[in-house]
Amino acid sequence: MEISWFKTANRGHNSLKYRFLIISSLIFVLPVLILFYLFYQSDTVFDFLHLLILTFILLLVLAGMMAMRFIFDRVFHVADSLKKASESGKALSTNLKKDVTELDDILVSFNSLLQKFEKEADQATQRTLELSALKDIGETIIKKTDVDELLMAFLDKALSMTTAQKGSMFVIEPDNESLRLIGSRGIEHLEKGARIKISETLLKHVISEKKPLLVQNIENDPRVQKKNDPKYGTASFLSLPISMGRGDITAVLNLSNKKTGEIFDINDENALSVMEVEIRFTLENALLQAKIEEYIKNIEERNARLEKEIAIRIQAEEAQQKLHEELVEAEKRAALGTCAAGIAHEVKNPLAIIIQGVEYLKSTVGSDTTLSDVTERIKRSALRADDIIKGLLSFTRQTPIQVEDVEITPIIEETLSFVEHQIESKHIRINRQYAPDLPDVRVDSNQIKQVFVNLLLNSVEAMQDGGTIIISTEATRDERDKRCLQVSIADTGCGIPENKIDKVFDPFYTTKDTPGNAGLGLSVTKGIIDKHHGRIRIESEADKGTRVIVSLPAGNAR
Amino acid sequence: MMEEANKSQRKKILLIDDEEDFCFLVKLNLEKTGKYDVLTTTSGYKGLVLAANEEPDMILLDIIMPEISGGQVAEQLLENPKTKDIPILFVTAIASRREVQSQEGIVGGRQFIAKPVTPEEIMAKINGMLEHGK
Repeated sequence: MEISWFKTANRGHNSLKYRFLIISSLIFVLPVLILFYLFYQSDTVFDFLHLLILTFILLLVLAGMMAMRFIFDRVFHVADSLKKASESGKALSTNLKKDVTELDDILVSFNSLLQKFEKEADQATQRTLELSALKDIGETIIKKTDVDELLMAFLDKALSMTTAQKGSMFVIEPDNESLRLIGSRGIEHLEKGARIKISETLLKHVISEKKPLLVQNIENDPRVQKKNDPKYGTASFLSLPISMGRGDITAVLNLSNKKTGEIFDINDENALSVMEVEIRFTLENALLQAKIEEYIKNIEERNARLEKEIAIRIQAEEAQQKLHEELVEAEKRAALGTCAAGIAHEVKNPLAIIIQGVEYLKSTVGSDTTLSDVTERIKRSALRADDIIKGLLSFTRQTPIQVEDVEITPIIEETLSFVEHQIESKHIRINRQYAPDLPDVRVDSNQIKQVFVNLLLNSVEAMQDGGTIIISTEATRDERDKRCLQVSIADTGCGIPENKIDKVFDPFYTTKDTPGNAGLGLSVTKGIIDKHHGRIRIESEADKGTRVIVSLPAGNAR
Repeated sequence: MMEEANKSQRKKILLIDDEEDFCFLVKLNLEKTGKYDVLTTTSGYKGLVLAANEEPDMILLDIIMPEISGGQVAEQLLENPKTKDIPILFVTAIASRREVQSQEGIVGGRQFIAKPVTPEEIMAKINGMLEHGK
């Protein structure tokens, strides 16, 4: 009578039968429990379909348990029969022999199944290791954006995964003819940055064929057949080409000297190939990012250069505009000069006739004072007209200047002496503020005196009821950082209205009411200053006074 | 006879200027003094003929003239042996009085006087040149 194996298993917790009972329970019952738990966690609502599925699963479990029970009952019945037969010494019955044969088949099947499980377990273990390495790689990649750092991280993971102790990473140079070492592990004689010709290394096969090179013995492998260099450890090595997304080989990874002297095998190659695929696009992204950053940097540098060029161009355009304006002004002056010369000639002749006629009349009027007075007035008017013509010619004529290095203070003092009478007649005070140790100025003394006479007379005419003229000098530098000397003539006169300051240098423009004033004084003055490459500017406020600042180039003497 | 004696002491001045009014008035003013006889012409060409025929003591010569300029007249006067030694005083409207004065009346080696000019200035210049034999 067969006794159920399940009934006898309970007789001892350490018995094999008891253990099988536990295992079978786990295999069949536990998944169901897990399934219930998952349903519970997902808050799944148990509808008719779910209940149907669960019922079906339970029936399968029961069927499985029943099948297991029958199988193990049978197995252990055969085992008991064999035991009894061996104890009694009787021959095995035919049925028993059949059972033994069947049992043997079952054991062989189980053995085969176990071997397969072992193999699958090994592969699962290997896969787990690979996935773990990939996970590490992924985490590492996220942190690094530099291509070289990524490649070296890949090398480190490859070393740990394959248990290799020596490794190196080369990148292909842009000329596609040489390799550059970006890093190594365990190989002291290789220097970072070292370059080798591709054609002179074993790696040419890897690069040309775009396939890993797995060599189990460098001396025997027909593809290589080279004496092993002890610096690289054992005779087995693995080289892996690395591309970056588009299939072009950009780097080569080399591993050698596995721990405990093992050789590299296809599992190592496959694992590394999987890793290489995983990081391929990330490397390309890192490379692209580096290129983009360099591109952005170039753009920024180019923008900075362009901005600078634009600023220079704007400056040049402004200078050109200014030059154009000066040229137009010069042309106007030249045209005016030509016109003026013609006018002067035509006017002077009638004036000469008037003068001659008046002189004759004067000699004939005798004692008639009225006629004498009239003729004198006519003569004065003719001479004043001549003065106006003279002023016009001075303004328009391009009188060449003859410059020399002179001291400015004596020139100013001499000019003051020219207008001394006008100054004293209006009770005007002169305040001198001369800076010490002034450099010489490079000027035509006579023309500069004319400038100062004009400016002083303008100040005198602006102060009808007395006042003060302040004359100051100062050594300074102009906007081109060239040494120059600045002379300032300031008065406390009536000033110039703000809306008229810009016009004071225009020919024939005058703010003075005095008759006969041609309005050429400041025009002539500016012309002289310009010829000396100096500057003149006016600061004025109506009813407060005017300040004229003249800058002249310093001489070379001191 | 007296008149002839007086006349011989008067200096003969030839004025060549295209301004007829100027010629008329200068002649009037200079001859009024009794020291000068003044011949006038408004044509440079006629002036050359007059200079050769009358052999004046001095020629007053305008520069800007329509037919022939004062400079050209002066060149031809120099080329004529009869007129080459006659002193020439240029009377010009193209230089300013100040410029001429600042150069002491000599511009480019030639004597100048600038219009508008008074009779006294003309006479002072003429007398100065004749005294120095220029």
